[in-house]
Amino acid sequence: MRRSIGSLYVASALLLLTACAQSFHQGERLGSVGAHMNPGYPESPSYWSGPGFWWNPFGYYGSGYGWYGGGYGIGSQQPNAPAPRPTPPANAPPQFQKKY
Amino acid sequence: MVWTRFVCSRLSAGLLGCWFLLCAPSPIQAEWYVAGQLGANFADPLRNVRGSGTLAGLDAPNFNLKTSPAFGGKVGVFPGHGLFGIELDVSHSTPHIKNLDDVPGIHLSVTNIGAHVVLRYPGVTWQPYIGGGPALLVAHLGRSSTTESDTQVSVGGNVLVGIRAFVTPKVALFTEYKYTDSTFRFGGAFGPVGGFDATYRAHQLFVGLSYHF
Repeated sequence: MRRSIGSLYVASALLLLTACAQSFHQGERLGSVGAHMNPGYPESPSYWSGPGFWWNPFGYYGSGYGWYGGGYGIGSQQPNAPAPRPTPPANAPPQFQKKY
Repeated sequence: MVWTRFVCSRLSAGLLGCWFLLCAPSPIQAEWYVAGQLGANFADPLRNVRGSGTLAGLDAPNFNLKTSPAFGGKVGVFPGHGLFGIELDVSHSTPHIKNLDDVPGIHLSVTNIGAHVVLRYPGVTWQPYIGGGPALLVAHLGRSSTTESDTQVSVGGNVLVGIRAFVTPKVALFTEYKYTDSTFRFGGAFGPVGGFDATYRAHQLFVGLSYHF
């Protein structure tokens, strides 16, 4: 099982390495960007705000910046000590009668 | 004050940009795709096994799960050929519960239905991507010498990372890792006696083919 999965991944890696086609849609996007660009003004607004604009869409310090999860500092709590395990009843399934 | 105004203006610009990317009518057609995938499901043991019903308050050892094949499909869209996309991902696996000493194993199947937000680098040939979102996990526990047949639906989450390479202008080969986390609640696993709750975590590796319309 593991060997066949490994073979599958090696085969896919080889195929990925040989991949040389270009995405139809990305070619279209880049073509669109080229059409919107003004040759004299490479940083024209239509280039930066058009549908072909894909990088850094939220800008610097955008959405999500400065978020910190909990669990630090004064408010954090230590887990309580485990309670003693109750004795399983006689009709409990064997899974609940195992010692661990 | 100046800083707050700066952050607000940037945030507004970001939200506006997001709206344009995802919702605004675009002169460029959206990029829809469908995909089929095949791989393996490496499930962690079912942890925190706790009794429910009349078994509430009881604990059981972890239930080890078998590695199993997995398969599934996706349908998704990238508005405006851009950075963000959304996809519906369905995969199925059979991580059967291994025997627990002298207690025989139990058949288990899991269908994962995920709604993901995907963030990609829209390269012309190579497209690495990450994503994640909520998932519905439909798990079916088989009948065994100790359990009754039981099906549960729980809410979980998926996180994924992958890379896609185009082999023709509209067909791409991809490989993907997906992590799933959820809590199963088999309330009727032991019939009238009760059931159990347990934490389910799985790692899935896929290879697949996608067609981009």
